[in-house]
Amino acid sequence: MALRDYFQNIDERIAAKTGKGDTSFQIRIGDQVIEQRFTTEEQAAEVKPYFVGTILKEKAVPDAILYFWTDDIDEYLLQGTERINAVWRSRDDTGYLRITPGYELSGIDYQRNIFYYCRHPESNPEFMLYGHAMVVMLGQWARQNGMMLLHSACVGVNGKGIMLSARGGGGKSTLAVSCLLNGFDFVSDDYILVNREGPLKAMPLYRTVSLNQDMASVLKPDLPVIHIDHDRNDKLMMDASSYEFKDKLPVHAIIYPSLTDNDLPSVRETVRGPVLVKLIDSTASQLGVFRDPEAYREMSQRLLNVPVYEIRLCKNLEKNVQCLKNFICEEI
Amino acid sequence: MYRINDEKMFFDIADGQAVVINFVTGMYYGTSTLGSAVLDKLVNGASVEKILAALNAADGCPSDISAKLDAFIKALSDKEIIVSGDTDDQDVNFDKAAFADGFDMTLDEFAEVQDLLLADPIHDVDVEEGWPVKKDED
Repeated sequence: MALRDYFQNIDERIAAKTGKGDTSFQIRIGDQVIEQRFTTEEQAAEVKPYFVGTILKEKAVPDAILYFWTDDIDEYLLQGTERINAVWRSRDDTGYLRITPGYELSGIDYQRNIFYYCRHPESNPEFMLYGHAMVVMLGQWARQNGMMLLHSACVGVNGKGIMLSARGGGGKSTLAVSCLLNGFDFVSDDYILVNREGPLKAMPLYRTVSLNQDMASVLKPDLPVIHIDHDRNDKLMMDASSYEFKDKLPVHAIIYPSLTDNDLPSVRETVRGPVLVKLIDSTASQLGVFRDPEAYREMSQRLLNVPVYEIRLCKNLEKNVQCLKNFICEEI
Repeated sequence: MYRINDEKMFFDIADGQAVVINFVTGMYYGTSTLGSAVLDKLVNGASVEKILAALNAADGCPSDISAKLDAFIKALSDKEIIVSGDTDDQDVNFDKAAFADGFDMTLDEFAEVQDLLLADPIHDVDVEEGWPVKKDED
């Protein structure tokens, strides 16, 4: 049986589970229309605010469909009990399937450009709706459509962009949001899409930004709060769709922010290895492709020739922002 | 004596754990806690002799530590993670944390596809009935 046929069976199963009401919505990313489908109206309503600024008012013919649903993953397994803890992967000309028993299923119907993500009912629903699942699916969609999703912020000045890349708690989001509030070109504070071929350009995925409570009280962004993430120290996710988000911003460098006790910030060239390991590893974890050589190689090759710098941040946000602005304007 | 092979490898050490990515093949490598500390010293120019001396000075050091170190360096070299480089004359000291997991120095190569038990659920489908009927359901 080809995966195409397997997925058509899944379609029927999802259809049987889908309730009444508004269980789907469409978003536009770049020039693509993506339809997100859920099995309940409540799930669709919960996720929809995250795509503020990208939601289509008029229905269009979708370029891709993303299915999210919850079901007993074991119902999708066709194996003996001895394999219960394995991850199953299968690929043919028609699709790709990965099943982690008791946890999740993700799959792609290549021919119909349909992406599937199913979570086991005992898993954390917030985790599914507000993070991992969306990123996994959009990462797969990007990969199938000539793009790559990276866990990185991206800002710029006068059309010259830089990626800000660090693990959580490294000052990335705070610096990026500070840049947004100070009139920089802005793509994202968290995830970006980049083209797989040609000069590196970044596109936004969301029109939201996130800040921890402390930084929100310092920056005081006048932005509506969409969600408080209790799983991440009550981090605030805010609607930034009133700001312009840059599309296809050329990326000239990767900058790694590090927190210091210095009085003044500074930027210097740095060894690329540690910065790229953090960026690639972090992205792979978010996309559910941790330690997958193919994914690591693709990301590595895409970023290999991008100059890498370190910005040594001081405690003064205004000085940090000005330092970054000067660097972008004068050095790249 | 050694340096990271930056023609092929990205290397990072964070929270005492080394991560190496071969950006040509995409292979991912991790090392044990002591292995991470030793690798960090090696690629920063420490000599093998001084590393060995520092290991020998540690409480509870096993008698075969020299063989363990040689094997670890050989594994790193075989995978082309390290290549010959300059040695400086730095003294070598290890934090106690380097020995938190003992004196083993291991290099682990992770390839998700290789490590996981793979099965193809598609081919376990009953040929006549198709999904979701399992073979053993008929």
